[in-house]
Amino acid sequence: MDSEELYQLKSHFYQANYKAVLSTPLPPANSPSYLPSKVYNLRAQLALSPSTPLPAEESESLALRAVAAFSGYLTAEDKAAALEELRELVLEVEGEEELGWEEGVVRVLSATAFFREGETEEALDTLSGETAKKDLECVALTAQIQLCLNRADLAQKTLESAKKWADDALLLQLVEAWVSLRTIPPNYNSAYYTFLELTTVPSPSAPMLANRAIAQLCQGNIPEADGSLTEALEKDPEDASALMLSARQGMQGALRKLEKIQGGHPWLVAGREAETRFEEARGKWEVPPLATASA
Amino acid sequence: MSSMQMLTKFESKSNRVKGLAFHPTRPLLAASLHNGTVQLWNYQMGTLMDRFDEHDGPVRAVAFHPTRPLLVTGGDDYKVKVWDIRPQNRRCLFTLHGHLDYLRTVQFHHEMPWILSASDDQTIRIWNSTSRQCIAILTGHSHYVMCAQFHSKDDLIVSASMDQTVRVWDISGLRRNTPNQQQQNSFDSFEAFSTVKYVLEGHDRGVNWASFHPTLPLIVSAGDDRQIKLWRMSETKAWEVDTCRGHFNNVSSALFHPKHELILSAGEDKTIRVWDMSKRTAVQTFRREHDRFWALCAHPELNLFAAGHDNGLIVFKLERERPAFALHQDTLYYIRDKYVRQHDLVTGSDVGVLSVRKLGNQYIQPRTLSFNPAERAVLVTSTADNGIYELATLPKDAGGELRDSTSDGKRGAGYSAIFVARNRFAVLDKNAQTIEIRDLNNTLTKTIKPPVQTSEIFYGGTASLLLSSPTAVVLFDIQQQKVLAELSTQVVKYAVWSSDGANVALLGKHTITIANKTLTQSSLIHETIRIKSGAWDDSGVFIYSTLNHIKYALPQGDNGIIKTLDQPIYLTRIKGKTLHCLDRSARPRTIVIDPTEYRFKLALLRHNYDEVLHIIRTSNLVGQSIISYLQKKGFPEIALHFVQDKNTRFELAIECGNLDVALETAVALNRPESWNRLAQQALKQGNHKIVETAYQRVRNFDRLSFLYMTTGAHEKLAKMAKIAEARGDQMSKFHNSLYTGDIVSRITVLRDVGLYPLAYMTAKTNGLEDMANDILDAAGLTEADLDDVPTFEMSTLRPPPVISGTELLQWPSLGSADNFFERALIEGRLAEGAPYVNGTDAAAANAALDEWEGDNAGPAAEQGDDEGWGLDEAIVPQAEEEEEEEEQADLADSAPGISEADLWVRNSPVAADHVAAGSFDTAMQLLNRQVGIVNFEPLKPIFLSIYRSSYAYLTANASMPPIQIPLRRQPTSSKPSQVYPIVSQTLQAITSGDLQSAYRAVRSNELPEAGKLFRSILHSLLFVVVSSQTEAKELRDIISSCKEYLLGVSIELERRRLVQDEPENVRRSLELAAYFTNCKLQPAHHTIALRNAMTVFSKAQNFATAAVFARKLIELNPAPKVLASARAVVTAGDRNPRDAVDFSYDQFTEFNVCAASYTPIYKGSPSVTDPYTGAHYLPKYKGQLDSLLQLTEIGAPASGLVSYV
Repeated sequence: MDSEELYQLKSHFYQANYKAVLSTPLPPANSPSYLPSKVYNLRAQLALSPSTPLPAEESESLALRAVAAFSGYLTAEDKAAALEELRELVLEVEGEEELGWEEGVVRVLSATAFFREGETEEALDTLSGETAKKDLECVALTAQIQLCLNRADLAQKTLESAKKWADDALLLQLVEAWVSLRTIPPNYNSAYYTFLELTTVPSPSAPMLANRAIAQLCQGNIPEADGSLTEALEKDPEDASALMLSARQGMQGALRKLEKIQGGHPWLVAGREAETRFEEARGKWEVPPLATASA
Repeated sequence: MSSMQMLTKFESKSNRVKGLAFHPTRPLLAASLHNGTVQLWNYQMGTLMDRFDEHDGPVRAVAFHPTRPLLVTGGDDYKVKVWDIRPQNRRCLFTLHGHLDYLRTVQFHHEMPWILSASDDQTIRIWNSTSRQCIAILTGHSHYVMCAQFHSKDDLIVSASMDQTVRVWDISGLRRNTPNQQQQNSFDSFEAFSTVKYVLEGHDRGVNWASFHPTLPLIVSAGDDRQIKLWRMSETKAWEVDTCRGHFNNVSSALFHPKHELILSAGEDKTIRVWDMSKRTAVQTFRREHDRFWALCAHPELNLFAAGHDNGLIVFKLERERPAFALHQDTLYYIRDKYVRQHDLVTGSDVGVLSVRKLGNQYIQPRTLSFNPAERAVLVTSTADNGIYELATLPKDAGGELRDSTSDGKRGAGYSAIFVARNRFAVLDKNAQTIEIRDLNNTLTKTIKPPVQTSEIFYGGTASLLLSSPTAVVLFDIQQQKVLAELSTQVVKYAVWSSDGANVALLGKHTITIANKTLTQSSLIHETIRIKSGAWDDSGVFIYSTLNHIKYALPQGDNGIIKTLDQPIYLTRIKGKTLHCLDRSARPRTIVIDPTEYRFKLALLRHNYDEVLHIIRTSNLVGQSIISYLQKKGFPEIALHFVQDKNTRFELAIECGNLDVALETAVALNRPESWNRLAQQALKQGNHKIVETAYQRVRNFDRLSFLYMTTGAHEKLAKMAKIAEARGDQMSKFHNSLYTGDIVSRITVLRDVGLYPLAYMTAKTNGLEDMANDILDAAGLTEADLDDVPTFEMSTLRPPPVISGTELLQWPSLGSADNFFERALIEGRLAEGAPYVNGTDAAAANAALDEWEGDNAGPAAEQGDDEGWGLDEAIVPQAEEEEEEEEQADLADSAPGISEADLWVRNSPVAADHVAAGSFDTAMQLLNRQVGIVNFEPLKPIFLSIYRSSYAYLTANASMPPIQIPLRRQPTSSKPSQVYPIVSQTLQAITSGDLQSAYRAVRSNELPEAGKLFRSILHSLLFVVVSSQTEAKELRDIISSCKEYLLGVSIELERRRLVQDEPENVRRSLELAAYFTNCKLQPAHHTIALRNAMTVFSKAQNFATAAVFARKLIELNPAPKVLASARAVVTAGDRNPRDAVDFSYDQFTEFNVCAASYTPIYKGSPSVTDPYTGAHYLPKYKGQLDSLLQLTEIGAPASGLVSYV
């Protein structure tokens, strides 16, 4: 069972409240919570500023080594070589038994890197081991990848089988919200209520407020979504997901800010690709001369 | 001198390859490996089809069965194994035991069920593959037998051994004694069947290989003495002919070229060598850096070889196969076996007209042929000597002694040579990078430095060349020495012009670029399989061949398969259904193809809807691919026509609102859910007869009764009452009595079910005292007991009387979108005499009721099993089964699903939805087809903004990209076929926002601003999605109104420009002012136009016409001040009824104003319209870009904007 502090830390982490994770002091080094807390702390750093390498540290812990390798991957020029290191770690955990949560960390970070490099099948494969199926973070990542593959049906199955043993875990509730926004028929209400519950606390995180806005958008409640969005931007004026929603509504300031903060945001990338695609498609049409009186 | 090429077709890396075999008909190659694996490759696709791993230790021997799907292998485990290679039954069929040492080679006999094997145990064995017994053992070699082969026709075997001999064996005895022979056990009896015929001695070391010539009595052998020996045999003896020396290490294998007088050999010196069989001289050596060669084999039919080495294998050709040819009208000129031949494609006559035997060297076929019809001259090129060409004239008449191309003596160096004009040809020198222009005397007239690195030149139209560079094709004008156009492409190997010279197809290895003749428009097709050739169909479709398919490409790039090929062909011409081609041995062939599919698609693309219909009606074009193509291109109504599957047909019909088809399929399906869906849709459209039929089918008595009530069908209601009676359904009885207004029956029902108070009150309030008393009696009460019950006024609850019996009438129903195809296709159906035009007739409906009335006493289950409720029970267990299956489905299955964007595109015919999905191509096609848009540039901001607003991104796991969340139109979409993207442009937002600003700008006389606003509104309206037909109508009205405003504003702006620039042109200014008043504006704005005209005309002293405008103004009841001035003008006009300036304006005839020239088009005069706004234009503007919005092609065919799903 996790200690109260560690539980709180994980909650922050799952809600993408990385700043809160970082501001939580680490427990004493001899505490059993020390290592997991340290790992979450480092992962939060990587999520917040992926391009800043972590300070080098020698460690026996597989989880810490995975974090270091993942950080190496994020900053590496040669992504292929960096992936190799992660692959070796995965092999290492596969050889061991009873590693507990550390195996999950290794698998999640490796799969994240594989997915980011387009190795979707390898990512899913990494998350499909017997232990991984009983690890919530692995389940959450599996579901997200399945959603990205437009396989909401599979994500739903992943969710359902995890529900059998971890029904009320916070992370699983989040997964359910993600999935319910993508299935057909969707369950926008359930997603909305999940995000609402997480944002009506003393200090909600900006990403969750933005997610609430998305659920409201899906419900068709535009003014309410605007409210959530404003709240999110008040909470963190630099939150990428909130900026994206704001830019989507045509706010030029938000667009410029998003381009500065996260130029590689998928929405920006898609927008740029769309421009090229438009030009290509437009070029296929021959425009006749303009009808004018002099003609 | 020699420059024979080794063209590698396929290469694979593996463990050392010891044995190889080609499949005689399919593109398969078997390779046996030193590590024990046997691989089965498809060398055309470059894929490993299968592998067989059951041998223990190296496998050296492998062979295919000549006709059956069998493979035989022999390994160092002393075993011979026979395999079934069909993917579905691949397995080892049996194993032959008997050899006592490694197997070296195995082979199937070409007609007998025999397997030949050679082994290190010094024996050669023949096995019967049916009885699986050894039927002969050939002994005599005194060392390992390295190789043994059947002769391809005669009863001979040749073998090679480490004992330094080659032996030829006669097995004719075996053939004679084979049928049903007894099991033999002793070696002596075996030997009786086969005898050594010749022992060939000459090699100084062990012999590794020996093989027969396929047709001549020759044998070639190769040995560790590094020599290749050629032997000849007669009936009685065999002798050594000659030796080929050159390998500097052991020679592993040597064989005859199946077609040419060549010998190929491969050796441990890492070379493959080609030898001239008649001169025994080396022709060519191909060297590899590190790999020793161990195996070599030739394809029995094709110019194809395979060699195995230390690290894998290669498949190669020794010469280009592509025959050189040129087409002129109905005549094909081509080269076969070094003769130029003239082939008449109509009559099929085929004659040789010129020899090119002396061009280049004997091993190399000419590369290209260019024909000059004016001079009957040909240019032939060869790759020999780094490229040479020869120019020769063809004889006028075929026949007689053929001249050789060298006799004209017109030749030169150059890689490519083609005619560019009647008396000029161009020659490319690839090394010097120059292009020479020469006349027919081969005299140099000009030298050109090409503007790009040029690897090949093609005809580019008169006096032009297409230059192929590594990254682009350049259209180059020879005379002006100028680049006309450039198109970036991958390396182009061939260019094929359409017969009208309007289009060109540029073929690369894996790409085809289809371009117009100026290279300004193009589309690109990518093929994973190598592209071989192509030709244009008469209708402008490009037909091409890849290694294994004949395919078509439409001008905009859509492509598809026409036919599968076993062997590559080279297309020369397409005429109708006949496809002319040359096969790989350069023989002319014809293939008949079915052009329906591509003609159909082409007609769709060209909006040639009559042709589309013709094809639909006359051909049996079906198949899932056509249906999905139609849906993708936005023609669901046509797709409906092709769908055979009843379920899909029903769904499509419901989606299109085509009730006739829906009814027809519902009858066929006869499922309750179909009937319910049909009822809903029919109700929406107001077709109550179909609703009735549907309700009857599902026995929805309640709704049926209600329907009869609303349609005033009293008689049927009465029947329903009887049915309710028969069914013993009290509630239904009550309903029916209520609907019919039958009070007595109502009271009876209430009484029957024991609701005495209600029954009593009903009787009482209807004045039926007797009945009331009866009820009291039945309840055991008297009136005295009811003292405390208040009294009520009389009330009958009778339905209103029927005024018009709509039961028998067909209500005016909502039409589905008025569409060319639906009309045409429905007309087609009518012609066939389809019965369901307006629902089933009343008689049938009555009959159905009667039937129920009659048989309803019995339980429902006794009815036909797919009628009635029995069906529902059957469904339950089925659903459970499905669930179980799903549980078993592999969770790790991670094939990507259908993206939301694809669903949107699939589901919606609305352009805005395609834009939201990012499918700009199809969106543009829809806009073009619906409203004729050709210029999309002005719409770019809207496209991008809609696309960008259709997704949100949800933060999920740390360090992962966010999850894309598609934003949907309705928060509840229960099926993939019902999801649509969020609406970005709503009618309401535009009418309450921009439109009001635009009106304000008109009022405050800010006309340029107003024009801009109306234009932008009209742009936005293209993407409005509405939710009802009413709104769709409103949208059309707003488009039309905005068009009037924009036209009016444009006319007035033109008038103001005129006043400024040409003040003397008063006449035109007057006309424009008058036309402005013709625009249909709202009264408030119309007064502005009229006042404007009134003022302008008064100023020009055209008092008479000014008064006309003034009167119209007065009719609109303007503000008092305006009214006063209008009256003044009328008075002035009465006083002075004439016009000072003559002008063209007929106020009495209706007219439209041409939106380009601003001149009137009077009623009855020809005009063309803008397909989007409906603005009118003079006929001469047809085909030009509309001047109001600069979006559409004036007069283009259009089906009308779809803004409603």
